[in-house]
Amino acid sequence: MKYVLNIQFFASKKGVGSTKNGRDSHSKRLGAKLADGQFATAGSIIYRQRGTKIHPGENVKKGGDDTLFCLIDGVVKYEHLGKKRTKVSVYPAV
Amino acid sequence: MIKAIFQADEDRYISLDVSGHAEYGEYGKDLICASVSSIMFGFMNAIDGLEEDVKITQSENRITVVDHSGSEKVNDYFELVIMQLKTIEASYGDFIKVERK
Repeated sequence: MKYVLNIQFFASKKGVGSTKNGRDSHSKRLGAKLADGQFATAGSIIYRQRGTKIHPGENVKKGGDDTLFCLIDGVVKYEHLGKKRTKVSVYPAV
Repeated sequence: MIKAIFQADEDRYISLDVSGHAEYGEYGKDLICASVSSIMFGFMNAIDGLEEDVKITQSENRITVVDHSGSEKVNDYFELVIMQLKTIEASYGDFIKVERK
């Protein structure tokens, strides 16, 4: 018999199985927008986050989407909040 | 999807070209591919055994059979194979298409 059966002759390439992955949402550019020691104007966003990775400190408020923004013009300060947590405050520039 | 395209002059078959991927399942578990492969390899061996003037070419995911003999038996084999492929198409039309050129 001349033609030896390849029973997967009409299959897609070996190992090229279909994947159920391959989807992802658009990145939301979270994270710090102002660094420690930077000057911030009132109302500017300091930190974008989901939940409270960073807590609001002095002169800083938390928005509806957990974004932290400052209330006054001043210098940004990232500080410890207890043992494990971090807060961000804004102090008036001296 | 596998495409099976045949040429015929009234009831005289001239050629059959089968190509593509069934994509019914992963490599090694693709049932439609296995069915079509078995039919086509059987067809090639049967035709080869007749030693008629029939050209068989085989490349990656493509088998083409062209009859130059005009032999009645070859024609019967063509008819059988095309009917077998149509039988698969009737139940698994998303994975194989049989068309006349």
